[in-house]
Amino acid sequence: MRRRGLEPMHDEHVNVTPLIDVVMCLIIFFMICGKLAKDEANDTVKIPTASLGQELADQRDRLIINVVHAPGSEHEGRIDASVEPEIYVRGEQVSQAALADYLDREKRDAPDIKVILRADRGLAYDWIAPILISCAQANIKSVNFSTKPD
Amino acid sequence: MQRHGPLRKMSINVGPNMTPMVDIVLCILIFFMLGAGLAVPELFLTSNTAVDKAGLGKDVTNAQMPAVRMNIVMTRRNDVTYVKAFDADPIKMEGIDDPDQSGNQLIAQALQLKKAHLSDDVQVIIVPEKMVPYQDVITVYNDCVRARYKQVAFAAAQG
Repeated sequence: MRRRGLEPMHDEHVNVTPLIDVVMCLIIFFMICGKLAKDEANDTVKIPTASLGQELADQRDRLIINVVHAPGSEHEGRIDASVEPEIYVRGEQVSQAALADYLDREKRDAPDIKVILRADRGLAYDWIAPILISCAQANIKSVNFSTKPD
Repeated sequence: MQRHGPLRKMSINVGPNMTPMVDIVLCILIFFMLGAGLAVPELFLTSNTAVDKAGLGKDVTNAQMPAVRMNIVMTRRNDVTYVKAFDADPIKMEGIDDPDQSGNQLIAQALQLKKAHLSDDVQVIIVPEKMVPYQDVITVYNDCVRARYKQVAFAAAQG
């Protein structure tokens, strides 16, 4: 028996559901990428400038070491060289003494590991050299100094 | 004139109005995309010989050491860095924000002039004092790369 009363509805609007699905996926993708990038690359580091820096061709097996001046050690734009900076790897603080063992483990897990060193440009070389020595002790052949263009 | 047939049926949208949400979501998407595009790219100076220090490293190698090893000594006096490139006189470095970059240009020229008389089988060792700023070390390393030195190493901090 045919029903009378309400007639079937025809939605004349464009169906935006797939659009919202795709856009939401893109937003989630950008947010996760941003979070991961922020964890890896500490944005408080003022990296040095260099005119001949190049992009890394192979991004696999990279390990970012962030070296940041300790809180309170910067006065009027100058970093107190006597204060030991903080070292962060994958968002976690690592002591200078523990860094060599850390790199050694990473080297065993990924033999072709590439270290990316992101250090404050105002830090004294006295704090950078032990990190380079730790890389050499772990037999890491590729050390890449993070720079920004002039 | 009144229309007849199927078009006469009126559409009734009973669902929520998605238009404001789509507007906001698209704005957020554009913000993220522009933000990602505007970020200053980081570039890298790559070193394959990180530190020159006897006894480091675990590989036993028969590879021949470079025939010539030359030092670039960097010292720090009164908040100024001086660079002694090989056998030349020390040259005063300027800060990167200093408009006068003549000292830095002299260092770059000295490195390039020396390289013109050398083969590729030479190792340059940058030997900075403890208090030399990291930026100055990178500037000198950048000059070495510009002068096409193939093997550049870093010594442990001196002094």
